[in-house]
Amino acid sequence: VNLSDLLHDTVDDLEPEDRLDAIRTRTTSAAHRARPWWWAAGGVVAATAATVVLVAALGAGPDPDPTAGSGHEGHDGPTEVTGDHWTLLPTYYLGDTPGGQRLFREFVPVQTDDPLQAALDRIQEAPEDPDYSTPWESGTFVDVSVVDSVIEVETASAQPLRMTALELEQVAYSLAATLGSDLPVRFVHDGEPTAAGELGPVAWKNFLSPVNISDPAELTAYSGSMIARGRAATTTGRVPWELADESGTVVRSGSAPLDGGPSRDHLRAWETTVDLSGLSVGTYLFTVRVDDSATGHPSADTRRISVS
Amino acid sequence: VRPTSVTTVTDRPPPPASPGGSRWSADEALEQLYAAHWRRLVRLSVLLVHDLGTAEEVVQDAFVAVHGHWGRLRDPERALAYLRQAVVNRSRSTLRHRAVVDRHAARRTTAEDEPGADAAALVTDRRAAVLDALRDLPERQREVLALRYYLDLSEAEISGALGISRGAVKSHASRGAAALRARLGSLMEDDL
Repeated sequence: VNLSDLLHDTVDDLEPEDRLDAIRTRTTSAAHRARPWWWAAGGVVAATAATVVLVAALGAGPDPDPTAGSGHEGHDGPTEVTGDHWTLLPTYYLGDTPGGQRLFREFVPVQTDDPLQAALDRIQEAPEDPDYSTPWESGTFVDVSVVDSVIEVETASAQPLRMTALELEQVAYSLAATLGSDLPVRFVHDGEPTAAGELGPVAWKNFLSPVNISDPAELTAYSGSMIARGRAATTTGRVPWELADESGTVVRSGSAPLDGGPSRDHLRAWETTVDLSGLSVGTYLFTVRVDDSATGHPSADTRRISVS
Repeated sequence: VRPTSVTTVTDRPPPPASPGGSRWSADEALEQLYAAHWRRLVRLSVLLVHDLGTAEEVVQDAFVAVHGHWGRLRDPERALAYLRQAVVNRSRSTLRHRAVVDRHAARRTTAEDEPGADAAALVTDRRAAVLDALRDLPERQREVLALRYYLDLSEAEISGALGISRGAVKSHASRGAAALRARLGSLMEDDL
């Protein structure tokens, strides 16, 4: 028996369910489809974060913007989950805010000896939450290394990257955050530049959402209580949050203090503990928002959680 | 949940029209790809993620993604290559997420991670033995073996799908095959 026969014999009699209808439902034009319940919850157009597993026990991760204040104490690089090469990579994806697209950070657990390459690979994969997106097709970038204090990204093609500043900054923020640095990024092919100049993870107001949830991760299960964390910039010094059930009814609400007080120019950490006792089992929507954001428009981030 | 889609950016040039002038819509392409490849890709994913339910989820997501990327693919061959790659990548990230959850949230570990828990998936000891052996391989070896011996892809195609060199494909294949043979030798001598 050869390996080919062995593998075919192993799975060829499995009959998968027919999922064509389920797929069609998900690919129907958004314009013709009812919003899911969490879309309207709170009345704010929110970008939900992608799936991140088990960030709940960990910190908010590194902050690539040296002017933005420490994202979370003690993290100056990707967060190592265990001693076994598991790393939580801070990666950035595009999401919608009322003021246009911005970058939202999510943490992805990967097992790697090369976090920088893993981050480059990761941002060329579709995020698992369809509310986020990446414009980079897999295979656009083939290699990354640090050369003379510049993060050099090798593109597969010599063609210039005709992408927006936000899309290029997605790469810059992700790679710099992974290194825990503010090193600029240069795009090259065989030594020739494929995008103009060098980009640093700078000018966050132009590129980052003014509010972002690090924990909880999407669809994490909790019972009893939940620690929520993230970062934000707001002149009120507080980040209002609420937890709504599937009917949209707010079952818990409060506001988390911004670490270090009101902040117009820096993203600062916030953290709060949400009491879940007495809630019935089910899925809930956790929303944080800033209404007076330093970028001049309200913005929100959401996570669905399950209470068990 | 909104469909996965390529972000619309106004200052990017539109994708070039397909050369042959044949212009499948994304919906038509999706249906044809589904008809031709759904079962085979789910089975491929079972080899990677071990159980049928997870594999169906992974491949369903890959089909949604290929629909969203159709504006850039516009070609059945490229779309199939994209699908294969999406299935492998998503299978990999599913396994990684599951591994992290298993290790660090024991309280949340559920029976679905145990062999045999999915009644629809693992119906025979032999199948379980092969899937267990695959699961225990390093991920690259497992992926290369599945693409080479299940999908019959060439080294060049595997190299493209996994983003690794042909030399790496070769060495993962030979090490993986040796490991499987060592573990499943008795099974492979049986009359399957």
